Amino acid sequence: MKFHARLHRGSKTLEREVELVAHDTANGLRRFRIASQTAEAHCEEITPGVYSVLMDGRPYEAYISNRPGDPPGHDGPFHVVVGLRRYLVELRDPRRWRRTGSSIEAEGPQEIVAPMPGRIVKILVTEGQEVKGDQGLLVIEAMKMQNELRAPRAGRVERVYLAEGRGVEAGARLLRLV
Amino acid sequence: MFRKILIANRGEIAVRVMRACREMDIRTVAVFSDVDRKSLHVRYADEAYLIGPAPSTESYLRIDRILDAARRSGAEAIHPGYGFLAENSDFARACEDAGIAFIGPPVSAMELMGSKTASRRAVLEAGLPVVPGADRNLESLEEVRHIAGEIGYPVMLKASAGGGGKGLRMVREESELESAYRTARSEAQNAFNDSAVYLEKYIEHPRHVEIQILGDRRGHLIHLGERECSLQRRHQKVVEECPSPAVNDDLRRRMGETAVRIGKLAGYANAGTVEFLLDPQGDFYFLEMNTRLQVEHPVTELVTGIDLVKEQVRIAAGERLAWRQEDVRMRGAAIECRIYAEDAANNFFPSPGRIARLQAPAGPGIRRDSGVYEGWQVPLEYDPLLSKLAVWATDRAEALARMRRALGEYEIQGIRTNIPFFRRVLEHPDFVAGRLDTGFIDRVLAAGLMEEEPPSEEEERVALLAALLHVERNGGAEPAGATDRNAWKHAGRRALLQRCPERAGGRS
Repeated sequence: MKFHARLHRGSKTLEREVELVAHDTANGLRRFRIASQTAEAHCEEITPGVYSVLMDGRPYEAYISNRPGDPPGHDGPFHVVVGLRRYLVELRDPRRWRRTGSSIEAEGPQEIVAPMPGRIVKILVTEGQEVKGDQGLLVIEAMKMQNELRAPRAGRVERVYLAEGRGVEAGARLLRLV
Repeated sequence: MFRKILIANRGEIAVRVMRACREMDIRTVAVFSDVDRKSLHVRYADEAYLIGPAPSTESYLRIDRILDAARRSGAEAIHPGYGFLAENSDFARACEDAGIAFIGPPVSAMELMGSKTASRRAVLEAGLPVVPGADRNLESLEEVRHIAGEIGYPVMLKASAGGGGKGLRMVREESELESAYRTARSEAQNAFNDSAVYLEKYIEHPRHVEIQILGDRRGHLIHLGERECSLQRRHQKVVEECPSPAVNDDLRRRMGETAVRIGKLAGYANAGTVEFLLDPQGDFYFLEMNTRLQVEHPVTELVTGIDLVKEQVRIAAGERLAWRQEDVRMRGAAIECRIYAEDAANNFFPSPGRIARLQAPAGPGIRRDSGVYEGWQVPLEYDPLLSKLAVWATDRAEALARMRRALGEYEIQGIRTNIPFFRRVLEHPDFVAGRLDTGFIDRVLAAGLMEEEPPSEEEERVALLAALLHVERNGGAEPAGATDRNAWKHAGRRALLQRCPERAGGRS
């Protein structure tokens, strides 16, 4: 199985050709290739979605889940948690996967959606306003707390879809950032 | 002794109270809202009754429905936990009127100590220390200037109707007073429709240190030492420890005696907490009293060996308090971290959802008070506290090492938690040295506490390898239990298979 992989963490993306090669039954090792490097590791599934990997004797645990709200795609994107870090991994099979481009948009128009159900308490920006990365966009109240939703990157607020005081469901469109 | 107790609460504290009851051979009654049918406290209790829909105003705050459940079940007493109705004197009175014991202080003590201004006045009149200031509304700038001059700068202007930092202004010197007074008043007017402000001395770098008190209904009242609660975010405590690194035996005795005197002047019985601000010079000031069991009570229990919930039950049943002040011994050190469903890496955004995986720490010195389990859906209607992780060790240094170890073992997946935040706080040199004040968390967060170091190449390789294994294993299907099995999921899968017809025959 050969894939074109994208590994996202924060604003960084790593692109590699990856492949899981043979299963060596003699020593229990899995051989895999990342770009031109081939390596081996002891791999075990602990429970569905949880993998224990021994890399040259060093143990890692990886926990895999789909992004909430995503349809269960065969090639992800997956959230992969290793240690304290969370990655987003996309695997594209170059032979089958016809979709072009990445599903993760770092540039271009971006819809800001509600991460959870709640109520819009305050909108901190207006249409047409330029915002910096990490700037507060609006305040949502959920779980008895008021929380500021911040811009994932710099840009211009093209549209504000909702008014203050409105209740929203998870995934509801809030703003469009261009 | 009671044979049956109703717990008018949910989550970890309901389970905590039920555990004490079970050890005392008392049957337990849970109440729950619609969305809590599968909650741990309902599964744990001997009996459980639905009291209404999800909003707490329609369920956990409904005195009538809770009393109905108590009558139906034949419960002889009600434990309110903390939050919800715990400090509501109408509820306590309604219980007594219904002939059901309220496990808490007498109504009169609750009413006196529940009011910030009335309790402050009572403490002041008894000659005990409160933060110097004017506990009345100040009508003119001249009046403000006069009182500020009397108590000395820096001072804090506060909105009388206040809360949430609105109408709050720190004034370092007299020249700043006029403009601060005007903005505080106009902010208070906008926020609360009431421009009244009052004034207090501003205590710089204060610690929040509180004293646990415990007394029976015959006037025998003792203290169980202090809890250091300076680590707060948005005025909410997140890490508590006992003893406080800033309190020695002499200060503990003085603070303890003050707390007991405050309790006595209120006619207090049962468990309560007297909160103080402690300044860097070792002077302490009464802040307020909490007339209930505190969230952070486990650290006191670990260090004193006294089970506060059992004592509360015994006192409410009319028993004498078996402990004398000289019997109370503090041994070792305890720390507690409040584990919340919030994303520490993303501005502590709440993170409700399904707990897909839960692996709890264990081993020597670990105590975990949890209200959740693997597979449970964390509702968004209530406080996002999942569990309290506490450790005990022979001294603070060992307790810190133990807590770091326990946090490393604690794995919660499917939702985000503040565990990564605690791992960093516990390694911060100021925390390790015990240099704490109420501004600590804001300061270290602003200084980049949560900034991540770049991962090693090997870790990135593991992430990619795990994704490959996962796709090979089940064609990318979700791990069992990662999210709800909804109709849309199957619809999505069908749609995907139609888009990739060559895959419909099965995995390659």
